[in-house]
Amino acid sequence: MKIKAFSFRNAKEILRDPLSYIFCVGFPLVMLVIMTVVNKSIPKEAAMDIFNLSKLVPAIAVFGFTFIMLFMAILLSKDRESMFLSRLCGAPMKPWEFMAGYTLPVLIIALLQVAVTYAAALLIAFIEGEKLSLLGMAMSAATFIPVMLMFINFGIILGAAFGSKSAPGIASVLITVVSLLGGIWMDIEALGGSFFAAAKKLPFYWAVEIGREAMATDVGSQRLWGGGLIIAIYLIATFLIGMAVLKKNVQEM
Amino acid sequence: MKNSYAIEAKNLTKRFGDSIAVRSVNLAIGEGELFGLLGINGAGKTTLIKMLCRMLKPTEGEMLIKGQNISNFEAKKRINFSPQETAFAQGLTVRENLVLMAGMYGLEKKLCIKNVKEVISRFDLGEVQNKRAKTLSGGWQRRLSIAMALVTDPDILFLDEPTLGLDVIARRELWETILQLKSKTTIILTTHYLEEAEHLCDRIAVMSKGVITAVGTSKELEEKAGTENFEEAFIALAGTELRREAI
Repeated sequence: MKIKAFSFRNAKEILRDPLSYIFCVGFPLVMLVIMTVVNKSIPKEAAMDIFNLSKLVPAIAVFGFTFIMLFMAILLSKDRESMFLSRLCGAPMKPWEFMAGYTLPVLIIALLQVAVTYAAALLIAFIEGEKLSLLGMAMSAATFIPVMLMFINFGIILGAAFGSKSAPGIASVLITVVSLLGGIWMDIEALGGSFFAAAKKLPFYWAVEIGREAMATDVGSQRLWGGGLIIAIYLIATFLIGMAVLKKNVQEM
Repeated sequence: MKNSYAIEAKNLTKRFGDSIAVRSVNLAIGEGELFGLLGINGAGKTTLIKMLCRMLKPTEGEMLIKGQNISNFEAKKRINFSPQETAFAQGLTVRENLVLMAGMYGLEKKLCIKNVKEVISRFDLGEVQNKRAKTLSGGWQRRLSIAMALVTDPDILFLDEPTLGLDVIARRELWETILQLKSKTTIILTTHYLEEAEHLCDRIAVMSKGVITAVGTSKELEEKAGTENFEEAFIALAGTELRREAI
C-alpha cells in the first residue's frame, strides 16, 4: 500500500509533465526515423550496418533510457529541494520502500517507451520491406530490464546528490557519454584503441550490445552473457550507491 | 506507572561536525498540550523538531513517546510533521496529496477515504480539492501542508513555523484551526511570531544557541525575565546575548 501510494504519485508527476513525452517518447522516435533515412543514403560499399533497423532499434531504446534517467534525476532533486522528500521521510517507510516507490513507476514508463519504440520500428520495417524478428524484439525488451533499472539508479544517484539546477546538466553530460561510448551513433568497435577500451569498461556499450545480441536471438552469444554480467555488476553498484547517497543527503537536510 | 507525557526528550544533543546545533535538551510535553518553541534564527528549533519527529538522528540522548523508548519506525506511525517550507507534491491535486500522505502512512482504504474527507472539511479545502497544489496561494498551501500532516490522525503533530509568510487574515484563520486541534492532538510548534506563541501555546520554551534557556507560560516567562511584556521577556531570555556577540 505504501509503495503503491508513492509509486502512483511519482508516475503522475512524470506523466503530467509534457516534456517527459517529448523527451522520453518523441525524441527517440524522431531519431529512429532520421537514422533510418540516413541509413538509406549510406552506400553499400561502406559496409556500415549499425543503422540497419535490427541494430539501430536496440541502440535507440538505450538512448531513450538516458532520458528516463534525466527525468528520474529531475523528480528526485526537486523533491529534495522542496523538502517534500524530507517530509516523506517522516513516514514509517523503510529506505528500500522509497527506492521501490521511485523505481517501479519509472520502470513501467521505460517498458512502455520500449514498446512504443519497437512498435514504431515494426511500422518502419513494414514500410521499408525489412524484416524484424518478433521473438528477437521480445528477447531484447526482456534483456533491457536490468539496463532500465541501472539507468534509473543513475537517475536516483544524480537526483539524490545534486540540486534541481545541476542534476539535469550532469545528466545531459552523461547522455552525451552514453551516446558516444555506448556506440549508439557510431561503430566504436571499428574505432578501436583507447576509446573502445574505455567503452568496454563502462556499462553503456554493453547495454547496447546485449540488446543487439538478443535482437539477433543469439542466446548462446558470449557477448550477451559477458555483457549481461557487466550490466549486473553496475546494476548492483548503482543500487548500493543510490541507497547510500539518498540516505545520507535526506538525513542531512 | 506510566507518566502522562506525550513526548519526552532526555539530554538530546545534535552535533554537525564541530558545531553543536542542539545541546543537552530536556523536555517533557504533556498529552493534548500545545507547546511552543521560540528562538531567533539558528537557535536550533528546526533541528530539535526534526530530532523529536525522528527525521534526524540525535548524536546523544533519548526520546520517549508516552514513556516508552520505541523504535523510529513505530514512533513515526504516531507522529506527523508539517515543515516550514510548503512541502507537497507540486503536480498532484490537493485531494491526491492527502490520499498520498495517508497511503504512505499505511492507512487502510476505508480509513483513508474517511480521514481525507474529514480534513478537507476541517480545513475548508473543498473548493480547491481538485486543483493542483502548485497553483494554490500561500495561505491555501499552508492549510494543505497542515492538512497533510493531520490526515494520518497523529497523536503528536509538529508544526514548523506554520504561519510563516501568511497575511494577517490567513494567519488568524490558521490560528483558529490550530486551536481547534488543541487537546485532541499534542502539538509542538516553532514560530518567530511572539504574539502567535502567546496566543496559541499552553507553554513555551525559549531556545538560544541550541540550549533551552526557559520553559513556562508566557506569564511565567515574563516573571522569570522580570519584564512587563512578553517581547521584552523573549529578548532577555533569547536575544540579547547573541546580538551582543554579533556586534
